[in-house]
Amino acid sequence: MPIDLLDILSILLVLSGLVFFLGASVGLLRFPDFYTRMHAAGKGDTLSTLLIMAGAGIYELHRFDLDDGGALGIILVVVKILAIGVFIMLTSPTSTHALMQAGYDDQLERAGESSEVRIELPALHTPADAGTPEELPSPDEDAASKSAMKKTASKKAASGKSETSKDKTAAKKSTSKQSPRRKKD
Amino acid sequence: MHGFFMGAGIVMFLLMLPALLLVVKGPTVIDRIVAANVIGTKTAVLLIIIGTIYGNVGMFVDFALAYALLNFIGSLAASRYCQKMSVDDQQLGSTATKRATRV
Repeated sequence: MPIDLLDILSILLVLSGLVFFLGASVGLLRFPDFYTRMHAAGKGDTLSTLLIMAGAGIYELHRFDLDDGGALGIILVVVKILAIGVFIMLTSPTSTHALMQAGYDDQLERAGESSEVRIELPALHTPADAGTPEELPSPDEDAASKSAMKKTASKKAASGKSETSKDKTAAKKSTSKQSPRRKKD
Repeated sequence: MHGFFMGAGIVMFLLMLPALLLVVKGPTVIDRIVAANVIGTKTAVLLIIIGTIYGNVGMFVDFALAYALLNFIGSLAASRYCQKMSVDDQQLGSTATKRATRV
């Protein structure tokens, strides 16, 4: 019977969409990093949306009957649901890309190598800075625990270089606090 | 079958709560925007499921389409705003980094 097949297909599509959305939610909670959370949110969100909308469209299609006068309306509704699916398939990666670009320009820290990135940029762009060499981490400091890294970050922030640090607290502070804006020379 | 769609909508709502938690406690601003984007997309899907439950999808599809479009526009606007804000923050410092000069 084709109607039962359509029901089974709809149930399978909605259930797989819920599974993918479960993955997206768990990834949003559990991933340690902005970029990885972005990864989970973008992919899981897009795919689960497409699957659940396809399931709802197929379930709507099973009310289709040629003898009924409203068959064209049902076709129109299914086409609209598919149009929403195509629209989300186009726009969700676009917004994910825009947000990722914003986060990359914001220089949010990555999970594993935050200290290298944080230290490297002042050493690259101001090589004549006198305070740079003692701020470079020694290898045993690289192998140290996260509390040691946080301690160096706080020491660096205390030494007045906090505008280039991409520490989480510094980023939060810079977004929450409205500091006076100077012109770029 | 209506019970199945009701359960699917309830499960989807319960799975939207971690995203809401990330909106509340997100470490950065863009985390909050990402989680709000996820919630908005899932709300568009939830509208279609509600329409399926009520047997009136033809009305709810238009709501879902408008909601998805507004969500996309809002997400793009918020990301552009945060990008511009970050560039201004980078220009605050004495050392103009390479990314600030590129944008």
